[in-house]
Amino acid sequence: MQERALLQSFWHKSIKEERPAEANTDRLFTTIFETYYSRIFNYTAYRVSCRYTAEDLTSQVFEKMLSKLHSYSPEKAPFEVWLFAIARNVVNDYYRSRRRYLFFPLEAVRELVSGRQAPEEHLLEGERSGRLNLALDILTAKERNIVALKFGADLKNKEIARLTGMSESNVGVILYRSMKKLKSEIGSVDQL
Amino acid sequence: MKTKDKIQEFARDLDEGLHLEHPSCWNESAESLELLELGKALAGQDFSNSHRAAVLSKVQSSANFKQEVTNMKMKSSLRRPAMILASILIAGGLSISFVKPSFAEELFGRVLQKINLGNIIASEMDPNVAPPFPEEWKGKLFDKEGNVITSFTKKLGEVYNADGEQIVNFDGDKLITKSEQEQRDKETAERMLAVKGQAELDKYALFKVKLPEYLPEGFVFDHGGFYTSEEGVVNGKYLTLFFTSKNEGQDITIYLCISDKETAYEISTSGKMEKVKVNGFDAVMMNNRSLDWEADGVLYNIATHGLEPSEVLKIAESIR
Repeated sequence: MQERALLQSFWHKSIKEERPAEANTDRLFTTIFETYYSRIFNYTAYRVSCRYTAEDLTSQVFEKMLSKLHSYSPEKAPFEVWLFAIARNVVNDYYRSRRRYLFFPLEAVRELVSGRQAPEEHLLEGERSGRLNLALDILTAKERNIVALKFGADLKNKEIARLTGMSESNVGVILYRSMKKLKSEIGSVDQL
Repeated sequence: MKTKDKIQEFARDLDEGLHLEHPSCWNESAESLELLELGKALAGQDFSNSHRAAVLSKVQSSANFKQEVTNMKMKSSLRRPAMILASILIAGGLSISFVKPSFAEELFGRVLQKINLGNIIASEMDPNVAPPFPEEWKGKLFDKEGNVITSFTKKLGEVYNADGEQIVNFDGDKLITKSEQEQRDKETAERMLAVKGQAELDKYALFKVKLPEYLPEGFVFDHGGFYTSEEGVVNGKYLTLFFTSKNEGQDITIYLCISDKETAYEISTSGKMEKVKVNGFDAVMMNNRSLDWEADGVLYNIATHGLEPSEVLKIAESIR
């Protein structure tokens, strides 16, 4: 929470200035990255099945955030709602661009052959999340987004409602329905 | 308790973090208890740690980062990774792919020719340099005769999994069978807004939509499709035009989008690529069946099967 308070004070000191000092911007970026990195990553990881794609998309979210920071206005939306709206758009764009070419996405080959992770680590990660990935695949895009916003991004139902334009109670219903689907697919949570 | 009330109570408990408390604090129905337990497990999943350094390094090494930080040129556009269409050595259903440009060079080894049309960049790759075959696929892909496939070094035609189901795509580590892809396509189609007439096309598109005046015999324009968001909001940047045909083995699809940094894309092929003109604009013809060009702020791609290249050009030139 302290970091979030620090962030707020930056809006007024840094963002409003046309050309804030480099050190300030650097510090601001570091603060935002440290504060939100895990939640942004987990949100994208809940929405796409491949961890390396999640890695790419997360870096795009932060790049986009940085380029749009000047246009952020705290009066319009809380920072995290704004940031997760960027994250949602980045993931949607990713799916849209894939949809446009319903062909063989070779970028996944790079992910498979990248060697950025030792094979045994890759295997462990696959074992840990495989069942969850399979279960997430049965959700509709809308359900998966709500689950990602809830458990990956750790947002309140009210924030999810604001972000998606749905009512808070509708968010609750979709969440309940999605979790029932996941439960029946996964079986015991010990399997996760 | 009514089901509706039960759901709302569960949503409230979840929202207030009850699922993160110790189960002994839970005082719910057996079903809700199970779901709260699942919520706890889902919230406890952290996929991020092993990737933190890589993500930070990617952001910081991005071409724009230093400049952004130094000058706060916030309005400069981000280089959204342009996607690249690439034909690799394997044929059939797996013949065209899209990858990131830097990877394309790494994967294909050598770019023989590059044509820059502004927001479309096309590359021809050396077909003699085979891309590496992913370790994870070894033993999982088979040819028609059931022989295991271990490299991209020859033309493969159709590929199958161990159960003999045709593989047409993959998502992350998961190989997608034909029937699974059909299901995915169906879901995609359900999210598309189908529009019939010119007035409706103009209503949603963020650019002037021009339909081809010429179509080969047997073809008629069927409808245009716009992508919609999860909330049903139409995205007017992209439009796909669908045509129906009486001719077996022939099809035409035209993709249009407004030309900007976000929609920019790269394409590549290890097959044939040539520079042609469409109504005076530079265009790229790939493998005699796909044509890409930009005109009046719109990016066009015509993807065809079973037509002569002259016919493909004729269709393109009738878009005025």
